[in-house]
Amino acid sequence: MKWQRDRTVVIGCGNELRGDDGVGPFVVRRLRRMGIPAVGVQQLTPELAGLLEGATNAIFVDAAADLHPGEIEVKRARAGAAGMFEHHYSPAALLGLTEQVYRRSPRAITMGIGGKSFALGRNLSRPARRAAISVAATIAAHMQP
Amino acid sequence: MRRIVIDPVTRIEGHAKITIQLDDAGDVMSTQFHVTQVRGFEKFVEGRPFYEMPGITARICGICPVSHLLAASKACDAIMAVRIPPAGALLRELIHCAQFVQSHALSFFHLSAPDLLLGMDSDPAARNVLGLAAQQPELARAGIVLRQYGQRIIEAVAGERVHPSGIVPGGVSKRLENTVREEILRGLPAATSVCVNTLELFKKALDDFEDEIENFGSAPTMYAGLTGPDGAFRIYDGTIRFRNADGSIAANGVAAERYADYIGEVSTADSYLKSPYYKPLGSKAGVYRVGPLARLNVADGFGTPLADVELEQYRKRYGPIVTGAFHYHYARLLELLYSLERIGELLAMPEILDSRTRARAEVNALEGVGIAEAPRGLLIHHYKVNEQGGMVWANMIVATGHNNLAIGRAVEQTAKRYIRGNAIQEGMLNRVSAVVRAYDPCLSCSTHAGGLLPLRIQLFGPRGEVLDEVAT
Repeated sequence: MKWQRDRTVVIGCGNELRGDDGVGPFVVRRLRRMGIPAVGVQQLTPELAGLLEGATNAIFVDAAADLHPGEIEVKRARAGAAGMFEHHYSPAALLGLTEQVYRRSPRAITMGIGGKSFALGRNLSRPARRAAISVAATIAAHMQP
Repeated sequence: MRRIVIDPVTRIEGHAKITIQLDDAGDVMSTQFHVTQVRGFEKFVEGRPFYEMPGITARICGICPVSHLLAASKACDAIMAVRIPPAGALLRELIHCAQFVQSHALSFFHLSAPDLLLGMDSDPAARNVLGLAAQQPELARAGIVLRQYGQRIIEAVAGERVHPSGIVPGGVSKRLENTVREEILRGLPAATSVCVNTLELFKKALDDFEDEIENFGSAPTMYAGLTGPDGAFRIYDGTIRFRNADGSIAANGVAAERYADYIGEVSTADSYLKSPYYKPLGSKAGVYRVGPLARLNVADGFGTPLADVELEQYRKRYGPIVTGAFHYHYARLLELLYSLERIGELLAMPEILDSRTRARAEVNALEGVGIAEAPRGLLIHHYKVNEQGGMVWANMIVATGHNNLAIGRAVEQTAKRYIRGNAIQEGMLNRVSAVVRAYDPCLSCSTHAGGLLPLRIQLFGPRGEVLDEVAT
């Protein structure tokens, strides 16, 4: 599988002040250093639909509390319904919004990374960091110019 | 007797609940608006260096971090006793206008438009932004365009979309590149056109809401907001003006450092949110409102051409002092238009590209107050420091706090108008939530109070027995 770099949106989500919750932005920084465009956010917000509508593929990278530390889970994301609060969205809800507004949405996957600690602090745990490096390398390996 | 609890109130920032007490006949006896979270910022900043305050307090909120950055930086400017370079002030205002664009767009299009354009009585399962997108994709797209535009300006000028690092004590951390200036200007006509079209659509829809306009928190209050020396609308600089409910000016030209002469605060037992009031009149008679509706009531005019034409129409239709909380939405759209026009004006000023953007100094005063208009209303940061610049005390009064007493009154008025206990329907309850939503409250911002928090800590033993208990 190959993703065309200028048609693929990578979104890393998380709070860098809450330990392993920062794996998403960590992956984004690593990709950018490799020259691959990626967006770091704390939450998925509605205006990201404007970014997704022009993309063929989307990759959402986020920490997961229900995985073992350092475990990586890749899942297909499909357009779904919005939550009741609407401050922030799940990948499915954001894809759903994109679909409704623009009548199209990209093929999307989520890459979940198991966290060990989500306590206050800027550092990633060793397993989460190792997994995040692996996720960034995997994404980079599948990108083509 | 019966009690209705709306918990949580949805499509607002933060967590709140409403309790409605009915009598035996099913009529509303009383209502309470509770804010059920506490943040504690005012206490835990004590001991930190003062220059960290913008970065720390910006974390209070993900929607309006720029407002906290500005108020905190202005308080730090006062502690350093510096005058910031003109380009620094212009760039701060530019970032602030961008924040108004993105925040007002979120409030109007994503949080409130489902009520306004799908109808208060529409199916609650579809009364959200996806339902709006299904029925009116153009409008949902307009919201996305404006959010994107505002966020992009903040990112390009201040460093990051959320919690930007570019606003600092003494000014801003980097100059504006001409390429960025040109990029922002290129996006301005499309953003303005989207805003104007939405305003036209909204004005046409107003006739469908006569009842809500009449009964949504329309009890008169005082109003407070920033104005310039000429009485014009201001969001970055200016002094506080208070207007009475009849439109007469109660106080004018109140400088930041004199805020405590005019604003008192009380804590209540049923909410973590403090209740500010206009001190000269006391907490019963001194209820005032802030935010878009109040700002338009307080200011003489916007000072930008398109927004001033729209303001004239607004006042012609609803009078010089507009009381109904429903019109927060209308006022929000007018402010959105002003912010876009102001972005154009600021970028046309040659000095905005100057390389000198920041003044540097140590502690030169032991106390500082910073004020700015956040999208939801007046924001005040007040700090005291020691000789080394360590924070010894902080007080923050946030927009939703100023509005707290008025929101409580609006909830009661709306509940009494719409709720009848013998046949409660979702549409009735939604109107009570919607009146809170009209204020666009940001409860995450507002509940960092000290004061008398209704806090109870219990220590349980292994068999569940209470070993110890502490209560304030």
